[in-house]
Amino acid sequence: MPLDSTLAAAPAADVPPSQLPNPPGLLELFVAFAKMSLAGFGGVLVWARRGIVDQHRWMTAEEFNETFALCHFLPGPNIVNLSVVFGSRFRGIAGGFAAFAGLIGPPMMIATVLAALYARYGEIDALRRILAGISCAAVGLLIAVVLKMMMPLVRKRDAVGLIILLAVFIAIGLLRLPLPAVLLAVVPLSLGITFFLRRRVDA
Amino acid sequence: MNSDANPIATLVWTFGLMSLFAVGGANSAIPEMHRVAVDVQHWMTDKQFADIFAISQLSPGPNVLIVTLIGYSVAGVAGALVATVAMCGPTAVLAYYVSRLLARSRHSRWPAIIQAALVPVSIGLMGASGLILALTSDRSSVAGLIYARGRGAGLCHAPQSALDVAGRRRLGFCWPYLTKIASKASGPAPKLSNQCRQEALGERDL
Repeated sequence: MPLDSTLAAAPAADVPPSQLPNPPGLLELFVAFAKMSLAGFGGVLVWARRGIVDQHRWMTAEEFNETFALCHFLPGPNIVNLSVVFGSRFRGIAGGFAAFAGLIGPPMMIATVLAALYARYGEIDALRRILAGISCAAVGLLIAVVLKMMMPLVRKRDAVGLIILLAVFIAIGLLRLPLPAVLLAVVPLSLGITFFLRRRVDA
Repeated sequence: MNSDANPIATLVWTFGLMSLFAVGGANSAIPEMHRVAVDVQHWMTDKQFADIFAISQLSPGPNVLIVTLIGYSVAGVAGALVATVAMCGPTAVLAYYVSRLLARSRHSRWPAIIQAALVPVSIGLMGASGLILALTSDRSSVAGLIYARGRGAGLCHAPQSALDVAGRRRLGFCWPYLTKIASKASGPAPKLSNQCRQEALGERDL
């Protein structure tokens, strides 16, 4: 839980902040992430990059990519991880909270209102048809992203990667096995194979 | 909700655990959310799940807010809050500690290996998300048409990075597609059933 008071006792992050004359304050972090989050329909990453790198110049593009790569290989919502890592880099744990609260708080209120409206009016036929249309488009885009991310593996003829990809797809998508069980089997396997192959290449 | 335990506790447990297994982000966890919410806990129907996914795409903010909507439908405002915090909390704490750890050992090769090992896993999960969402949404020819459009569009632009594109594409390209698709589908397309056509028209009313 993020509101765990025992965490506050830990020392501030010893990650060196970027060379900035005045790193962002807590309120500034909150407002900046709230803005990015509210601007991002269907995904916040683009706006986060724009806000952090272009607008506020809190990070160079390279630092941003590095931070994002870290947040991408960690489990969980990437952009949430990014907000916590980013905020804590400048202002310790309090900064992490401020950025996280800005990212999640305002859109969560909007989502709650939408959920309440849906609970009340969800049975209206026109609304259901609109939602069906949106969901079709969103699914199409998701599939497009998946295909695009797959292309590098295909091009590299990464057979191991493709087999693992297919195995996960079948286990989760077709067999509907529980996610934790599948990952506990596949992730160590994938890690082991990757490690072994890299060592052989290096040797 | 017909779980015998306290629904709030079930939400915390479900999403707290899912948080640590969502390799590749919130979209990777959609099959698991569907499995738990529809098949195991019977919190909602297939159709409601598809609607909730659509609402989460429609509202601003990170995609993870789909858990807010699921939480609300289970236990009201408290459920929404609890589900969101449970989904974000554990991984946020993990991210904090890992980023500090890596800052100390900057030149370790482990991050690269872990990333290389997890990329196929997360693509497989997202593919499964696409499949399950496609099955829960209407299995109509409009859906097929729209997937094809999305797919065609996905392959003809050359991106710098797939991650970057994931966000940008959804953001910038979604609405033009919707209108294009709507105009296409509402034209004299003989294959469309009446209901599908109405769906397409419904989109245009946006």
